[in-house]
Parts: sequence; C-alpha cells; structure tokens
Amino acid sequence: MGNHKDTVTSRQVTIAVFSLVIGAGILTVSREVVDTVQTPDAWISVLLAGLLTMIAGAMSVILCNRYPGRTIFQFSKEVVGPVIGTVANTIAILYFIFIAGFETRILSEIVSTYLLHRTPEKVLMITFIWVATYQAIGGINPILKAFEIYFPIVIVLLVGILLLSMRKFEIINILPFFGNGITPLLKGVGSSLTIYAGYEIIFVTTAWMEKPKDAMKSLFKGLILTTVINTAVVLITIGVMSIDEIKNLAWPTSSLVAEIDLPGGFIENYKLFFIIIWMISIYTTFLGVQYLAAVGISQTFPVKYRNALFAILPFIYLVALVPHDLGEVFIMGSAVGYTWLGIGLVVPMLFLVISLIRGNKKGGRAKQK
Amino acid sequence: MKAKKITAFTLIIIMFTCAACWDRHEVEELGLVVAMAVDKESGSDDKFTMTTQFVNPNGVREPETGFKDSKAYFNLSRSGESIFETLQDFDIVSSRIPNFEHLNIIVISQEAAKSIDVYRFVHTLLAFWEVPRNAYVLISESEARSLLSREPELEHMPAFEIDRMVTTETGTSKKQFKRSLGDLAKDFAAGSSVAVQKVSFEESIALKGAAIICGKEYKLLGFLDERETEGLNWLNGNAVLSSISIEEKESGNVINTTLNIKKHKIEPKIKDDRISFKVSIIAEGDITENWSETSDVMESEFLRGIEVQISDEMEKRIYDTLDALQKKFKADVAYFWKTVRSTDFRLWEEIKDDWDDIFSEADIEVNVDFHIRGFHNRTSR
Repeated sequence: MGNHKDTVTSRQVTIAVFSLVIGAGILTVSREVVDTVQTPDAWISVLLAGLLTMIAGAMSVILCNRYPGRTIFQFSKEVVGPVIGTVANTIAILYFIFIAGFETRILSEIVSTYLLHRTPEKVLMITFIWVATYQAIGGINPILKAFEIYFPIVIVLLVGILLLSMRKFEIINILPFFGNGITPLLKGVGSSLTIYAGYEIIFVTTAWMEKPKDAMKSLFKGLILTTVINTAVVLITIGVMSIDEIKNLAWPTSSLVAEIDLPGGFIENYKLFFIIIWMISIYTTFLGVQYLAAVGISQTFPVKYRNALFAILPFIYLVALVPHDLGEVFIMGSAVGYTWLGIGLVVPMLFLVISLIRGNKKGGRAKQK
Repeated sequence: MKAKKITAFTLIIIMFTCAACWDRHEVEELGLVVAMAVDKESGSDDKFTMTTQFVNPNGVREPETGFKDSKAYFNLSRSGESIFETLQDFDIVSSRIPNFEHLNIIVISQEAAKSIDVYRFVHTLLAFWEVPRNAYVLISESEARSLLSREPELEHMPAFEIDRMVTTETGTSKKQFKRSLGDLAKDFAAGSSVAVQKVSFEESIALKGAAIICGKEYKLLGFLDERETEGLNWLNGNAVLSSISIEEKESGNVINTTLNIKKHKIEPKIKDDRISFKVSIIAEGDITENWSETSDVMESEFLRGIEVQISDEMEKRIYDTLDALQKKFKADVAYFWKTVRSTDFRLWEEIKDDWDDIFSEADIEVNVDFHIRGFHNRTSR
C-alpha cells in the first residue's frame, strides 16, 4: 500500500504539481497553440488556460478537503455511489496508464532522434519504465523526494536556456495583440489547456498532507509557476521563431534551443542541456502518473500497491507501442490532452457539485492503510 | 542462500553478455564537417555537387617539432539529386562518419542558387537533426568549392577563415549582415525574400555585397553592390563602428566619420488600400578624417553643416537601395512586411500573397538624423 506513514509537506506538493505538469507537452505546445490560434499572440491562450486550470484546481482542493485523510479513489464511491465510483476510478486509472505510455513513447522518440540513433527504441522504453518502477516501489515519499532533487536542476537549466534564447527575441514577432480579435485566442485555450494535465496528483497528496489547509496555497504556487514557465516558453518561441516557422517544426522548443548562438563559441551545442531537462521532466511526469495509476488500483480493488505497480507495466509498454509513426504520437498527445479535459477538469467539478448537493461530509481522518 | 548466489552469478553473467553499446562514437574517430559548398553539376539541370570540409585533428594540433606534418582539413565532393542521399553518400568516400554538429558555413554558388530551390535545401538540411540552425549561409559569385580549397594565411582552415569574416559584426557595412539557416527558414516560411551575404574571390576571399533570394520561387534574383548593401544595412539598423565619407560642400575636402546607428524605426501608414512607410534613423559618429585646412572641428557651425550633409548622403544611398529593391528585384528584404503585420494583422493576412507587388509600389519616406559626437583630432595635419 505504499509507504506513506510519513506525511507530505506543502512544499513537496508544490513541487509535485510542477513536476507532473511540466512534461512532454511543453515540447510541442507552441506548434499546437499557434496552429489553432494562427496569430502571434497565441501565448495569451496559454496564460488563460493556466488561469482556468487554477480554478479547476481550487475546486478539486475544496472537494478533497471535504473528505480529509482520504484520496479521491477512496471517497469517490461515497460521492457517487459504489458502482459509478468504481467505474470512475477505473477510467481514471486507465487514463493514467495512457499518459504513462505516451510519456514513455515521447521520451524514446526524443532520445532516439537526438541522442542514441542506433539503440532500439524498445530498449530505451523498457529501461525507462524499469528505472521509474524501481523508484516508485517505495511509495509516495521517495517519489516526492526525487521530485525535490530534480526540481532545482530543471528550473535552473530551463530558465538559463530561456534567457539565452532571448538574444534572438524580436518584439515585432509577437505583435500585434488581439490582431484578429479575441475569438481565436479563446479557441486556443482549448488546445493549450491540455499541457496543464498532471495537477491531479493533489487528489492523492491532499489526503496525506501535514497541514491539509495549506493544500490550496501549495497547489496555487505550483500552478502559478507552471503557468509562468509554459507562457514564457510559448512567448519566447514565438518571439524568436515567428509563427510561420513554428508551424513547420516537429519539436519547436527544441529548435528554439538550437537557435541559441553565443559569441565566443564557449559552448556550441545547447541541445544537450535541453535533453537533460526534458528527460528529467518526462521522467518525473511518468513517475507521478505511474504512481497514481498503481495507487488507484490498490484503493479501488483488493490488490496490493506493489502488485498493482508491476501489473500495469505491460500495459504502459503496450500503450507506448501503439502509435505507428511520429504523426500518430502527436495525435495521441492531443488525445491525452482532451481526455484530461474530461477527467482533470469536468469530473472534479461534477464531483464537487454532487458532493455539495448530497452533503455527505463525513469527517475524521480515515485510517491509512 | 545457495539460490541467491546462483541468481547473483547468473545476473552478473547476463550483465556481461547482454551489454550493448549501440551508439558508441569515439570523438577522435568522428569526421567533423565544418563547412559545406553547393555547386551545380555542369551539364545537368537537377544534379548538384556537395563539397564538405572535414577537420583533420592531426593538422590542427600545434606541431611540437616545428613543422606541420599534414593539412588541417580535407575536402570531399559528391554529386546527386537528393540532398539527404548525397550527404549520406559521403560514407562511401570517407573513412570517418561525417558529423554535422559543428557545421558553420554553407556556401552556395550563384549557379546552384539560381537552379535549385533554396528553401527546400534549407528545410531538408534542418530536418537532419545534426545540422545546427545557426550555420551561416553565403552565396558565392564563382564556384563555391574552390573557396573551400584555398589555403588561408592566418587560420587553420578555410572554413574558420570564412566563419571569422562572417561573424564580425562591427566595422564596414558594405557586407550584408549575417544570415543563418534558421533565419532563412523563418523568412521563407513567412514568404519573405532574404538578403544573404555574398562571398567572392578576388585576390583573397572577399565578403561584400548581398545576394537576394526570392521568397516565392526561392531562387537567387541577383546581387546588391557594396553601396546598396550599405543602404540595406542602415535600413535594418545594422551598423556598428561603420564609417561614411563625404566631400565637404565648400572646400571639396574629404571628411570621414564613424557611423553607429542608434535607433531605426519603420512606421507603416495604411490609408484605404495604399500603404506607405516612414523610415526614421538616428545615427551618430566621430570625425576621423578631415582634410580641410580652413575648417575647425571645434566650431559647432561647421559640425552642424557636416551633420546635415551626412544625413542627406545617407538618405540618398538608402533611396538608391530602395530603388533597387522596389524596381529591380521587387523583393522586401528590409522587412517592411513585419511592420505591416504587427500593425494590422487582418490586412496582412489578406495581402501577404501579393506583398512583393504592393511593396514595389509603396511610397517610402526616409529621414536620417546624424549627430557628430566627437572628433579624434582637431586637425588632420
């Protein structure tokens, strides 16, 4: 049942939200948003989507705080009844397995494109999955501690790379604001919402927080940080590459890094740092969703956490093998995003409304298994 | 206990037998490509010849014995119709696997730039993951590969010599500002024409003027001469420690000043369906040469006169450049289109396909404001 005798601190929750949300999506987000919006101010959509996610996140915390000490997998049966609750949990578990498979695939795509050309992708995937599993066996605390270790590395490298890219930033590329009205921006919110998938970790962590009242604050800190980073990535990519070029790029964020050109030739290849960041952030996302899936299974069905963790491995691997080519990987990415719109945004709101109507607030910190 | 030992032993055996290193590359075994030249194959319309310059690490190393034992580079050429295939074919003639991560310079010959689709070329190269987006593109007047085989005096290899020349941003504005593969891809993606550096071979390699590549057919349109290139650089605000000479009105003496562009602004004016532009440039400099015996640079009246004269001269040269761009080439390489896009996005979406025609008809007003900041000597003698 995972080792969560120790409680979770507020800072860990903030970092967990950041680590899960920043994942594979940020590699391609600029292209996806620009494709829908078609104007240079597409980054505003990303900002708006972040604000929307915060609203959804706030509702989720309110919901979780109504059932202190229990995770969503445990109290969902109480909110909507045992049958629907089990169905909802199963869907959520499948969704987490789906994301885990997608992240695995993206990782192997990037590593085989940029780093290891001849290493079979299957070897990359299997190694990746096993390493994450080894870490996840210990339960929530080792995972959150790993996030804490990676967090400063990712932030420093990411901010450094963004600042270096600013040398080629042209303000004229991001003007005008609202050049085509607000309608395309609103359309863009839909496709940019998808990169905020992952804050769902709070459905579980809130239950074990030292001070559950701080859940809201830590969630907001995490989401604000993510929104700033996501918006900055899109804004700078548009400013450097211009919208016309972004549409041509498979991995716009990676091309942004390739544009960095510092005089002096101190370091010529910044892609390396970029690959470090994205391998870590994809790893943390994978770790998080894999844990969520396993914990979901163990709390919905009579299966031990450890067994659940191993049982989902083949499914994650199979999902990762589904896309036939890179185009299908990207389609899978949007599918993940749109599924999240349902599971990450609509379901919590629905649950909250039902819970408020039924008013079944049974207090007390439930026994932790 | 025994079972555990057996397991451990088996695992160790597996570790050794299944270990694999698919992507092992020794640094000294890589064939680092630093420059590339593209020529048209004579007698064929579609075929082109690619020449790559490899680094020879033994030649670059400082010789301890006092003499260099081998050249620092070697060139290889292959011909083909497909870019990617030709690049791969270097494996046939090279003992080292070509690695393009340090590609700095791409020289395309005039002939090749007129016959092949430059955008397709840029795009294909960039799709090749190793090729950096900040490799610089040049158009050569003569055969491109011969530029790569001329032994340089100072640097180890021709690629480094050209790279140094390209990346120097201060000094003369008679050469076009550097343009990289990424810059070309961005401009072509927006349907814009591009001006890239022109390299020619005189007594040595010379970088002057600009080559204009059309944003519609992606082929070379022609060249701007040194003077027109100066005007273009000024229009784009690329002048640091450059200089300008004039003949003083009264005495006819030559006066030269340094030239730094401090501010440049292109303002579009959109009225009904007419688009006109107002270009304002603020520049400043020091007097470096003054052959006049009668005048004194300490006199502010004299200085004001020079300022007006230089401003007029700059305006004249910019108008000449604009004339060439609008009438001769019909190519907006000074990015007037960006100002239209950033002002009225909806209008831009409508007109962007006919932009070259609209640009060639547009009225452009240029205003240069030149200030003298100081002087290096009171008199020249």
